[in-house]
Formats: sequence, C-alpha cells, structure tokens
Amino acid sequence: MKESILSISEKTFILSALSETRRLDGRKLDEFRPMKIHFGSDWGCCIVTLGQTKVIAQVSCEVQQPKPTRPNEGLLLLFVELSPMGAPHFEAGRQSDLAVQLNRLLEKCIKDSRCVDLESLCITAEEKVWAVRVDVNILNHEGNLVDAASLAALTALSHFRRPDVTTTGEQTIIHDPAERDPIPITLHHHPVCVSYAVFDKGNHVIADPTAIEERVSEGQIVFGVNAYRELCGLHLGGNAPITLEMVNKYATRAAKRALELVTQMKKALAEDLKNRISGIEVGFRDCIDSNNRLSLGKDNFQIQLFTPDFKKERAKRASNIDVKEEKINDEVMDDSSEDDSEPVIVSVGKGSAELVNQKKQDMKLRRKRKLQNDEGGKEYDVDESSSSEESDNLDKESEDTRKNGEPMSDSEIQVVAEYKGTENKPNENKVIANIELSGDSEEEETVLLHGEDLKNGSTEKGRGRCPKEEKMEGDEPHSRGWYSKPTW
Amino acid sequence: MEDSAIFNVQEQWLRPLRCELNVLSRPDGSAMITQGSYFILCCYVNTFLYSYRVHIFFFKGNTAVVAAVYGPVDVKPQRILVDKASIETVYKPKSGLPNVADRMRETIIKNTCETALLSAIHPRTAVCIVLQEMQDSGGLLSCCINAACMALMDSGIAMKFLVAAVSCMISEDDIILDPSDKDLMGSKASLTFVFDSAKKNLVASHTSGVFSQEQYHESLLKCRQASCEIFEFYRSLVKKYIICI
Amino acid sequence: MDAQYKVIDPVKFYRDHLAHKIRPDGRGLLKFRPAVINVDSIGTADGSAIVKIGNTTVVCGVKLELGVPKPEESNIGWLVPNVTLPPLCSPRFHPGPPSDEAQVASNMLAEILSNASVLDLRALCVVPERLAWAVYLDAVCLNHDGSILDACVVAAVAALRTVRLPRVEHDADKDITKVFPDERSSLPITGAPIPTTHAIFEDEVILVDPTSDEESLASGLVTITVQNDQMCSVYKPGGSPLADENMQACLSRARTRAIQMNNLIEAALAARDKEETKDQKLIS
Repeated sequence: MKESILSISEKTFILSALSETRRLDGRKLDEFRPMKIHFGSDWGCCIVTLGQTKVIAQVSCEVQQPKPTRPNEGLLLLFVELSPMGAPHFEAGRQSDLAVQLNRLLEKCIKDSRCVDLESLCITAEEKVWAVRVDVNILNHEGNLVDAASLAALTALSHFRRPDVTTTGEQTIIHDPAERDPIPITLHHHPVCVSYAVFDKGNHVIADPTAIEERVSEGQIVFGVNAYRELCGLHLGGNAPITLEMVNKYATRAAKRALELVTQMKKALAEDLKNRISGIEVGFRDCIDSNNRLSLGKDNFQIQLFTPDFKKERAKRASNIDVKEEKINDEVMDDSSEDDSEPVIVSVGKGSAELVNQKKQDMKLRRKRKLQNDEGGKEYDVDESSSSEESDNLDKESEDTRKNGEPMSDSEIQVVAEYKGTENKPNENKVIANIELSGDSEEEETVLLHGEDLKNGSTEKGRGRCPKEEKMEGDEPHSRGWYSKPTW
Repeated sequence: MEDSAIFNVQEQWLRPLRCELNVLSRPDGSAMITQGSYFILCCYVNTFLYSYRVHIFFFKGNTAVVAAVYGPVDVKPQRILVDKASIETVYKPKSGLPNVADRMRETIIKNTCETALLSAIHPRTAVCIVLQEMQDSGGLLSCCINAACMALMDSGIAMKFLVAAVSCMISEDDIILDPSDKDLMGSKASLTFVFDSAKKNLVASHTSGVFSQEQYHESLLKCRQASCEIFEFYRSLVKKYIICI
Repeated sequence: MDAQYKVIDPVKFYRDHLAHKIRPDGRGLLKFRPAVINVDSIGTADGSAIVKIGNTTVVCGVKLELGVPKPEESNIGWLVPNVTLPPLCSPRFHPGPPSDEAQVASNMLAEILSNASVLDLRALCVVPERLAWAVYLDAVCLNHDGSILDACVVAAVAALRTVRLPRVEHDADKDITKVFPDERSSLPITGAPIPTTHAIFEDEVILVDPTSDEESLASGLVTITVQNDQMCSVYKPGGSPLADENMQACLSRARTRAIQMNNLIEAALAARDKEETKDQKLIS
C-alpha cells in the first residue's frame, strides 16, 4: 500500500498552529507524550508505549564464534523491523530507508556508546561468546519511532537474563534456567534517544513529534543521551538550518528528558522484579484494558484545545501526580477549555467531524437523558447497573449512590444540570446550532449511544480513581461537568 | 477422626481469554489478546462437619498476540484477483526472521480467514492481516487465529461466519484442553482445531506427535465443545462493543 | 471438444464430471493414481529415490556431511529436509527465492519426519560436542501435478532407507578425523509415514489424490499422514468446513492407503537388494 498523501491544508494548518505555539494534541512545544512500559513473562521482552506509538522488543542470545579482531568480546546485534502492522505503507521483509535509518540510530545510541559490557559475554576467548540479539518490532507508528524503539531496546536489554555457563576444561555446559538462575547483562550506562522536529527554518522546534508532525517538519534532531547527561549520539536530519546554540539548548533539555525516562524505566524494572520474586503473575495481561471500548469508534483523532491558563492551574493543583494521571487531567482540562470565550474548534483531516459530533452528542445526550429521566428513566437504570457490574473498579461515587438505593443516572443528571448551568451560554448555543446544521437524525441516534457508552467507559475504566478526582470535585463544583465528560 | 475428602474437580475448559479491540490507531481493525495466565481448580471438600469449596489458582503461562487488519485496500498488480479480494497474511515472530514454520502458520491463518471472509464482494482489492507474536506459552497458533478473527470483527469487514481455534494435547491416556507450554513438555501429541460458528464443522486442523484415529476423534469432539466457550466470548465482546459502533 | 469446454468453464466442466461420479482423467472419486518408486536412482548421492504418483514426479537425494554439533545440543546430529519447487515443474513457479508453497511443503516434510520419529538424531552423533553427521534431504519436484506432499514424503522415506553411513574415527587429541567410505552401515530408520491428500470440491464432494487442476479448483485440502496405523499429522489449512463423518472416512481411507504404499516401498527395496546380490554373484 502507498502512504496516504499529506494535503496542503493539513500542512498549512499544522504550521500556522505552530506559529501560535500550538500543537494538534494540545501539548506544549517541548512537552512529551506519556510513556508506559509493560513486560512479558519471558526475560528481555517489553512493550513500550509512547502516546499512541507502540513498540515491542525482545532480546535473545546464542553462542557464537567471536570476531577475529575482538576475540574476547561478545556480539550485540540490533534489528528494527517495520511490519505493515505499524503503518499501511510499511512492507514486510523489505528493508526500507526508514528501517535502515532507525537501525543505524539505535546502533549509534546503544552499540557505539558501548553501554553493554561485551567482555562479560565472553565464554572462551577466540572460541565461544554470547551473541545478544535485540529485535524491535513496530506495532503502531504514531510518530517518534526512534525514542520508542531506543527505549524499548534498552529496557529489554536491562530486563534480559542469559543462561549461566560453566567451562570445565574442554566442556562447556550451558545451564538450563531451572537449574541455575540466569544472569543479567551488565550495562555501564543507560543511553536513550530523544528527538525533536524542526519547523520554519529552525524557528520552531518541538519535542516528541507525532506522525503527521514528522511528515510536515523540515528537519529532525535526535540526541542519544544517558542519565549522566552524556551525549552518546547526535543525528541532524532534513534540510533545516540548525545552529550550534540550538543544539546546545536542546541537548540540555534532552538530557533532562533522558533522566526522566531512565528513572521511569528503572522503576518499572524494579516493580517487575518484585512481582516475579513474590510470585505475582507477570505478562502482557495488564496491557490489555478490557474495559476500553473504542471499537469502530475510530477515536484516533488527537486534536485538543490548548489554553495556557488551565495548564498553569493544573500544574499548580497537580504538582505531584505521575505521568499517567497528568495526561488524564490534561485532557480534562482541554475539554473544559471551551469555557473560554474564544472557542477554537479546529477540524483537520479525517475524523474531524467525529470530534465535533462527540461534543454535540454530549450536550444532546445530557438533554435527552434528562428528558428520559423525567419520564421514568428506567432504560438507563438497567443499562447503568448492568455495565457497572462488569467492572471491578467502580468509583466510589457510583457505589455510594447504589448503596443509597438511588439509581445512578439520577446522580449523573445532577451533574448534568450543574454542567449546563455553569458552562457559559454563548458557547452552548453555538454547539446546538451546529447539531441542527449537521442534520441527519439517524446518524445522531447511533452516536448518542456511542457517547453514552464512552461515558460509562471512562468512569469504569478507573480514571475516576485518580486521587485528584474527589478533591477537584470538592474544589470546583463545575469541574464535575467536564470530569465526567468522555475524553476519548 | 477421618475426614472424607471428595474432590469434585471441575476444571475450566480453556484458559481465560482477555481481549482489547482497536488497540492500534493505524490499522482498520486490531485486537490484542492474551490467552491464559491461570486456571481455576474448584474443589469441593467434604469434611466430617462441613462441606466447603476451595478455589485453587494455577499459573499456566500467558500467550499473547496482537493482530491488525487493513482492508479492503489497493492490491499489487501481481496479486490481483478479478473475482475476489486477495488475502495477504504476515506473521511476525518476536525475535529473529520468520522461518518456514512461521510461513506455514501464515498459510493456515490465511486460508482460514479466506474461508471465513466474504471475499467475493470486494473483487480487485486486498485484505491484509498482520499478526505479531508477543508471548508464546503454548497454543500460539490457536491464539493467532482467534486474534485474527477478532481483528476482522473489529474492522467490520463482511464475513460468512466466525472461526474459533482450540488446541489440546494428548498425554499418556487423557486429553487436556488448551495446554500451556509447561503442560506440553509431557505430551504425546498436540492438536489444534478451528471450527466455524455456523455448523461447528472443522475448518482447519494442525497436529504434531502421534495419536490414533479414535484419539483424534475424541479430541475433536472435546475441542468442539470448548469452542462454544470462545464463540460465547465473541458474543460477549460484540455485546460490549456494539453500543459504541 | 472436451479441452475447449475445460478452458471455457473449468468449474462447470468438473461439476458435470463429478455429477457422474467420474473424474476427467477417468478415475472414480476415491481412486488413487498409479504410483511408482525407484530407489538408489542417483549414483553420486549417498541415498536417493524417485517417486511418481500419476504425473507428479519427485526426486529425493541425500547428502551426508560432518559438522560440529551445537553447544546447546551437543549429542545430536542434523536432519535437514528441503523441498524445491523449480520453475520447470509447473508454470506457477518462478525463479528466485523459494515460493510460499515450497516453504510450507519443506516445513510439512520436516514436521512429518520428526513427528513420526523416522530417524533418531542421536544416532547421527559421532563424538559428542565434536563431531556429528548432517543429513541433507533434498526433494526436487520435476512435475507438479497435485498431491506433492504425498510424493515428497514417500520419496524422502525411501531415500533415507537407502542411505549407508560410512564409519568415522575421530582422534580428539590430535583433532584428526578419519572416514572409511568402504565400511558403511545403514541408518536406523524406523517406520514410514505415508500422507494421503484429499480435496474438497464445492464444499461437498471429496476427491482423493487430486491432480493440480483439481487442487486449484478445490475449496479445501486435507492431508492425513499415517504411520503404523497411527496418525502423525492431520493437516487441513483452512478451506471449506468438513463434517465429522467425512473426516472419519478420510482418516480410515488414509490408513488403508498407508499399508499399500508401505508395501510398495518395501517391494522397491527388496527388488534392489535382489539385484545387488545378483550383481555380487556375477562378480564373484
């Protein structure tokens, strides 16, 4: 399949948004997407998620003959594979330019920085050494593959354990993992790649570009940095002029980011090890969120509105929460930014109608809900309770209401009422006007259910468990309105 | 005092499935599934005074696969079929290059999906199914087929019927359903069956090891019974997701 | 007339034939094509066989090599089966890397041989960690007219039966290996797995031993491999769903077929032995 063509309007939109220091997904220019690591039950297997970008890495090893030039060093091989799973234009079994570039960047960052102690991988000099192979497979390409791939490779390497070996004169015995505990690989330091995209002849530089931003960008800067702020690789691509000051400036930022990433990685590794020792099951079970319901919703559109005031407020309120929760709050904030008097409803590319619809639906849904509730609201009671039983993670609020014997939708309706009351009027009018314009009642009918479900999903999913929730609800009554609002 | 302990062993048919649809943003349909992790042994213990039930959890490995579907999309000229969509399957092992065994897995998945799809309504196009192994703890082939089926479901492409794959193994004298890799160590033969949802007939079969015709038939019947559990899982999945379609 | 009809509408052509319970080549639905086996056909190979089932022809040659075993598994040798489908065997194949069909056939051959444990790999080890035999088994298809796996497996087994392993001496201290090409012993081959391919035509009719035309029109294929009345592979890669009674019938048929083919291999080997003794008598 061919790569879809990037339209001029998409390009100009991104560029003009950038000139106002805004990004499609509402991030700041130097803000990174949240990163998550999951480990498989094999040693040396992990999935790294960076925003929507997903990468899986697996380390394997075998005994080989060393290179004659370095007879007492093991071998480290890095492979990045782009299968059509990641993006439709990737071809299986063919080394594309991108794959070659990724491979080389990873080699520079991990292999050439000599972070892996290769001498410890030697069994008998000139005869037998361990060849460690790292396979990185791209599952989903939503930009910044370098960062995700390098981190996945490094995490997998630090997680990996090779079988123990003993040499008795002539014989070499490779011990089964059950027989003797396997040995981790020694890493001297932890280098990761941090990449930036350059726009407008170097006037705008953004961190962690998404796929579409990468395609629009004029150039890219990739730093290989370790947690000690040492540079382990630098790649300048594209045709944008990049000055020395810029490189210096962003290298410092990249070092900060690298430290964050490595800290998070070490934390994840420690937790995995703890689970393994205490016998808690490990594996990819946790990276499946069976309460997440986005089937055919195609809610991949990542546009979000950006309001600096809310960001500041968020930062003030939530200074100690971790990355995951930060993202949730982030989205919540962005939803609510409609409060501001200048609503920038932007639509670019595919799915834009979807997002606008979603907002409309919500308003409409709320109204409809209220109506139904006045009539008895039976339908919703049934629906609510059946779906909430499925989930173990009921948030407190709903549990309480159920205990009181009140139907859940009642409490939700109150929220709605508040929401409608506090949300500013002109905006609402505008949205309603849009609904009527976009017509087709059948379509609305289907989307209604969609929105409703998402709403359930978002509370069930355990977002509600975020420790901030109660506090926020207490602090600001109208915040509940946008808190219960679906974000994706 | 003597306690009479009657173990009424009620073994679960299959290792529990866990699935998330639409996990990937780029493909038209995608599914990530894990099969396994534990199974529950439910024992009824009758002592002198009480009768109580005990649940014992066994760790049984965890096979994980992610599947993605693109389609119908444009097709390469050399693969074009004038009367139906051509089905392309790519299976990626998690380490190393795909070998001949992976190629065979690919063929089985491709032919199975081709049987299930209504490819005749999309002539001169391609449907591309990509599978990525994440973890192999036994029953990888059946896990792949189930994942592919769920990804096809998610993509919303027209299908004749759904398919469910169940694996089992033959040990010395009995048949164990959905064995993990640890179980397989002591197996005489391992078999994988794929059934359709319409008549529950056999769509695909792949075996290793030696067994008799009777054992084959017995395993087939047992797996067919267990396949209902997977179809039930599909049903619950659709129920869960249908409200947001 | 027949030929034109076949070109214009091959499906209808077959449907008409099958309605009369006869196949275009004159066979009944459940009749096999004649099979021919010749062993020790290639003088330069360490073992060889040619199998012809109808028009399908497969040549299988065995090459022996000495190698150093893998450190992970230091006491076994290698058996490396490979199926080649060259462009000469059918217009479907093109020069270049092996096609998917060839790769699947290679893998099936390897699986069947290992499932049936035809050859104990420990018997190939000469000195653990030092020296072991690698048995390269190359099956080349000369004419592809359906049921390729049946011919390949039979040819592979027959070729393995003819292999004579030379005696080897290894001096560990001086690292010297001595091979005695005149002192040979046969490989410990146990059993002979026999595959039987069935084609399902339009979801209903089952044909045995399909030709390549029948295979391309079929809506599904089933290959059942039997050894000593035990199944060692039931391979159905998708295709139209098959009801239980049909599957059982196929399994039973495969069992009968296996006995016949086994006898055929034995007969071919016996014929060769007879010739050899006759030759030796003449020499003496």
